Amino acid sequence: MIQDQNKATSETNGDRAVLVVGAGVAGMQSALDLADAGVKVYLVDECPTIGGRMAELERTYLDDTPAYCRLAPLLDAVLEHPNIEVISNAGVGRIGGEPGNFRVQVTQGPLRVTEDCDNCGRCVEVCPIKPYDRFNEGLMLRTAIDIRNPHSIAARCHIEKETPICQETCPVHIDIRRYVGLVADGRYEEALAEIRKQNPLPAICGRVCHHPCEAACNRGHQDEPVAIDAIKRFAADYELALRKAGKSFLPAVPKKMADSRVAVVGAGPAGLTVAHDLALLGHESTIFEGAPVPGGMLWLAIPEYRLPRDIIQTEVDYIKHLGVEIRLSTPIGPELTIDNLLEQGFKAVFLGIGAHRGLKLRVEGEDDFEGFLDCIQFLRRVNLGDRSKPGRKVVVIGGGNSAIDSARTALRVGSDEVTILYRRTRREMPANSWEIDEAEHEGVRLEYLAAPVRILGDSGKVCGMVCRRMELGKLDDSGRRRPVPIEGSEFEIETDCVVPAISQEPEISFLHEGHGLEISRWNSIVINKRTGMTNRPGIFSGGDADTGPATVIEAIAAGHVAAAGIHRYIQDRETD
Amino acid sequence: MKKPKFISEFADIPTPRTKMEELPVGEREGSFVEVEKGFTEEEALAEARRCLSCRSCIGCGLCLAECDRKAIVYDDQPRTFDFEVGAVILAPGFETFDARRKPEFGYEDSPNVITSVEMERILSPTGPFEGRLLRPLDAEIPKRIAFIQCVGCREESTGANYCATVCCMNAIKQARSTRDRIPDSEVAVFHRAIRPWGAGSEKYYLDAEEDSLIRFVEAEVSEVRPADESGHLSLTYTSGGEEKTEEFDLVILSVALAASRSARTLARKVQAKTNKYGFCMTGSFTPLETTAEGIFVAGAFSGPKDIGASVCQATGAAAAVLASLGAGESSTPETAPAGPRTGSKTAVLLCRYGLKTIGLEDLGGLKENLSENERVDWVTDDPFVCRALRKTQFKEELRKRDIGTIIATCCGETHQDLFDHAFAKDEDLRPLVRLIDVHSSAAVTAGSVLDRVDEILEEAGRKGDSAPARTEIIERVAVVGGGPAGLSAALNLARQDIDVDLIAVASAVGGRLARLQPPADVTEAPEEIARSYIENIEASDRIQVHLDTRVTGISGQPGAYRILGSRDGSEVGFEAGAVILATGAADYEPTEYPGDGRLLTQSELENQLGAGTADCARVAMIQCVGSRSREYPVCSQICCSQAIRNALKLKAIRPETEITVLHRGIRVFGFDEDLYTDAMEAGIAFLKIASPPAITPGDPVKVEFTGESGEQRSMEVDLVVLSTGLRPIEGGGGIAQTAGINLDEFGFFQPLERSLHPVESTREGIFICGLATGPKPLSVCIVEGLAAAGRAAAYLRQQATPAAARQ
Repeated sequence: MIQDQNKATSETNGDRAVLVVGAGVAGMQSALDLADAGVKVYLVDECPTIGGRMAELERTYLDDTPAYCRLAPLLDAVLEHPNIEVISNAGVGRIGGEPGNFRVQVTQGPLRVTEDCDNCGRCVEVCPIKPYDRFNEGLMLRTAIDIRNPHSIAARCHIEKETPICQETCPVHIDIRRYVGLVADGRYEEALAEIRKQNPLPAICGRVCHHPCEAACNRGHQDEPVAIDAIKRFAADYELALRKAGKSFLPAVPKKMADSRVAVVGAGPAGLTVAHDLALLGHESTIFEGAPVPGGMLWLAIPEYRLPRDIIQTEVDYIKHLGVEIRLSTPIGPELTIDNLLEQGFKAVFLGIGAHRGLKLRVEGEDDFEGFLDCIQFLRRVNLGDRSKPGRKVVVIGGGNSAIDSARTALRVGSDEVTILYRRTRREMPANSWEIDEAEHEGVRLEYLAAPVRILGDSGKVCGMVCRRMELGKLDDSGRRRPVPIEGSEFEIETDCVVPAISQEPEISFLHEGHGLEISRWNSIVINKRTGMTNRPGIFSGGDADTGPATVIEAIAAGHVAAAGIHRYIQDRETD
Repeated sequence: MKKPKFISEFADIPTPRTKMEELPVGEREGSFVEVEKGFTEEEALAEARRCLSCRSCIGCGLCLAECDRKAIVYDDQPRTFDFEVGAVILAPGFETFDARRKPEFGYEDSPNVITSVEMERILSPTGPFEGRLLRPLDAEIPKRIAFIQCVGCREESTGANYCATVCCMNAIKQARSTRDRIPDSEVAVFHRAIRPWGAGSEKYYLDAEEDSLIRFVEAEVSEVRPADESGHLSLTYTSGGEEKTEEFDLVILSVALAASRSARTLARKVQAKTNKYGFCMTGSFTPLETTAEGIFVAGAFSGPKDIGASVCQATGAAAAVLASLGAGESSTPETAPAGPRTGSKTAVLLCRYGLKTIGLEDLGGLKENLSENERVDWVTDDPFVCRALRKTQFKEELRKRDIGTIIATCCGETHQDLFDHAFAKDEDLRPLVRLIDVHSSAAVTAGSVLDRVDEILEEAGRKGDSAPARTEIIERVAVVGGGPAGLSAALNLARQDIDVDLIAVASAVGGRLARLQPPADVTEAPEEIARSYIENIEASDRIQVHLDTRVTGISGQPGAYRILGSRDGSEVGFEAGAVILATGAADYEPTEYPGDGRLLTQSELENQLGAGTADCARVAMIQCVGSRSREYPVCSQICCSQAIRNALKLKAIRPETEITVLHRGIRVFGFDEDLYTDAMEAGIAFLKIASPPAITPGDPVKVEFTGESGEQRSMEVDLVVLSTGLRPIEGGGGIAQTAGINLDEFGFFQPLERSLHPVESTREGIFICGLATGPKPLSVCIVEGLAAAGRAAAYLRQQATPAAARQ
């Protein structure tokens, strides 16, 4: 029987019950064998119907009989067996306990069609929606009512009305279909309000988000994905223009609760989000920022040609308007420790310190010569106004967005030749593909499958680099192809400036002795992922400080988690 | 769903993606002005409108308005269930390789490049073209059809260096279907070695090869691209060192089976380890157990496999779980008792689906002819007869028409139960149901359906429908064979509290276990496993072991069989309710080569490796000795892996050993592909040969052979190792004849049906497993032993339950 939403699961003592995950031919056969022997079986499948891949087959080989005709007896036997409880459209959430006594939690997604359905099929006739029929591999259309293979209807059909894939993919789950729909209807301000529900930095994200939503967009199956991010930018810019023209106003300042001050360390996207969310929840917060500018990596690492500074300033101003105080050039350190902040009466502290320390290349000669400039240092210098060129012939090492940013920036400040050296191929490059395109477009040379071996110097300065060709070898245990050096393939590159852009880790040297925080071996701050709290009560963290270098939108997502955690923490303390 | 592509009927999708204006490249040097300009209002509107076709329920309410039963809840919420279980079986299946990851095959460039799964849907009567084979682009009939094998497997670059095992057979099946449907079509299968998997597969392949319009081309395909606007495809490949380009109408990519992401997540949740390709890890000797205790695995998640193998694993896993749970109260509820037959009229039901699969589309004539038969009172048809019988409306119709006999077209005797059960809950409706198997012979026509209806009516007129009386059931199982399959069957039955007679021809149990070298990836030695089996068997008070006993025949009837045998010249006999035949297979003794100390079989080499005496400078291994010939068209499935393992061991002893494997297409399955890659990296040479080599004994031994492209070659070696493969045992015919079960055309016991009844013989209560049904790897033998035990135990339980309470 298919699990009835209104019927409570019958009580069993666990040792004579078995969970079978997957209702394809194997799962169904196991379930039947067990059920026939008197064992209670929970048959769970992620599909709304049972039958698995065999239901898709036309015939089986060797005996050449129709696959469905072989499958039909199993389907019926499973559905009618009194000892089998089919829970379709479901997944195993948690599983605990021990052999002989596992405790299982299964979550069933909404089917939207109840047991009263008698498969008359009239809904199919009137449904105006025509999605691709996944059961038929997209070779035909169906309706929003998914009956899959018409002959493998398991008791009833299912209406597909899931969270849209774009929204599901977005780390902060903006209701994308809604705001894009509002834009299509010309209701730009409502669209922006919808975005702001989840994203406090819409104009920034509209420019620099890596937009995984677009990679997932269904429209991509047809031609190209919808330019979701650019639509977000349009909505944000539209409002900005209105505000400048005096036709739109900032929202009313939320009321603050007494005595619920929170200190936020770092004015990057994570910290700004925490302060933003807390302000709306009625907490006062103060952001302590070591740099003379707000935004963290947004300002210090992302070049201006991708993200104009007035945009950052406007979005920061919006958050300040909500009642958030930002103290620039106020580093946390020996002068002002986390414990000092708590002593000053802050109820909680959020450490949004990012990941600003570049990792070393670990090649010979790295520490011997002048002409080394880590990408983060280089971008920071340029972004704070120093437009001198780092060198004539610049070699950037790495394949991430920072590598591309460094290369494109170097060209802009006057370097004659810029090369990016990457040890795998373009396919494996973590940088956004459109950024790589632009870099090539602007004249950056990309050298794939090459890695540095030794730095060459002349009178104390870098003058070149010995590199080695790589090839992609066998899979490592993570299933990725490992770059393997090709023996004897050394070659030299002339350069007077090497910019390592390998990766970064959090800079935690500012922490005072006895800070008591748990630090991972990657120098990141260990937190509870559900609350954002560190091992010290009242001290929270998130974003790059936790994950290592990641994206703006992921930092915002982490900020939301931490803000909710801080809010609960403060409330719990008050009620105690 | 990978590629919804040929549908271009979206009038509501207006425009391509809007391009954003950018700062010209010339103005970027020395400038930090923003590069991307953003959308204008018009652009934003146009782009946002592209999203409106996102095809999912919008909650408009039209269907609810139409639904009489108000069975639709738009804001239905997720539900959570908590329960306790004693064990878990993971059977999450597989996903197929995403063909977009191989852009060179043009999957996204042309609607006429499809995956093998899409091909299944196209061929299916319920698919997009109702079973007609048409090109997706324009619904034209394709004439030149190409298959590309190994898409997404057997290569490091896609992260999947394993053989997906089932794709070759699937492509052969689809090629044959294609030729059946379009008689003047030409099919080409581009492959990197055809590897037919499973019993009977080699013959299936050879039959396809005999069709002159199916070409099997060993080649590396480098590119598929649209040849012109009309949907033709140009396919470029390298074969025999030569690059060629051919044009096709339809290209099918045989996409590999891969571990699905959700399955891997599931494995992590239960702390079961997965291998580097994401498949669930199991032991060679415990193929159904994950690394987490109490968590079992069945089906393709532990490695690609076909339906028959998955079903074996499923039944085996259930048997293993039952053994682990221990005895418990059975809670099978009772169903309504069988009432007397009702009705007096006769109905003929035609299954449109079943008849369509054999090419009968227009049923008008057939229905008319049937109606003319005066003994037939009602003729009707339904898309799926097996489902129709369960519908309330249909049953009402049967009552109204006073139907007492139903003759239905269907496929397979295994479906009789399905029809009998359809009326289990109806006391006032007990028709006699008779099936016409439309798949029993290749050529079923409307005429033969008519003839069968007549025959059935004759039979029904002659005798009543009383079932034969059942004999008293003997609640013991006889397991014949003491190898891995028999041992695992016996142990499992004993753990399910069933008494077992284990009958072995040898003077010790263990079979092939006792002499195998451990596979390279296994830490336990087979002898230890054999010993632990023996210890467990000795410890069990439910197993009686009878050694040195040769079984010669089986008499009696289902539920009360008598196994006849001889020991030390005297006759012995055993009584059993069910019998498991795990009699194994015989090693082929090569007669085509002279006896010589420098000529060994792989097993003999293993003995030397075990004893540490194998050491020589130049070795040739010859594959397929006595197999895959016209006389014996069987591939022994395991010899390629065995040869490669032994070759690697020789290399490990002495790295400078020169080893050449003379083969006819290397067939390693599943994760053994890694071994093959390792062997090539270790410098082991693989040479494809056109015919069996000639050997001249001496020191050195001279091996002469014809190479792939017909050139004569010879080599001198110190040792020749023959991969001799497996043959059916002597005496299998005698057992089969007395037991009344079938042998297949090669002499192995024949399963009732290969996909869903792989361990049932053609007679009720007699089960078959292991090498006795055809060559297969050790782990599969163990699984089949468990499956046979599961089915035998279920059979005894079922027979012991009163017929009326059977479910």
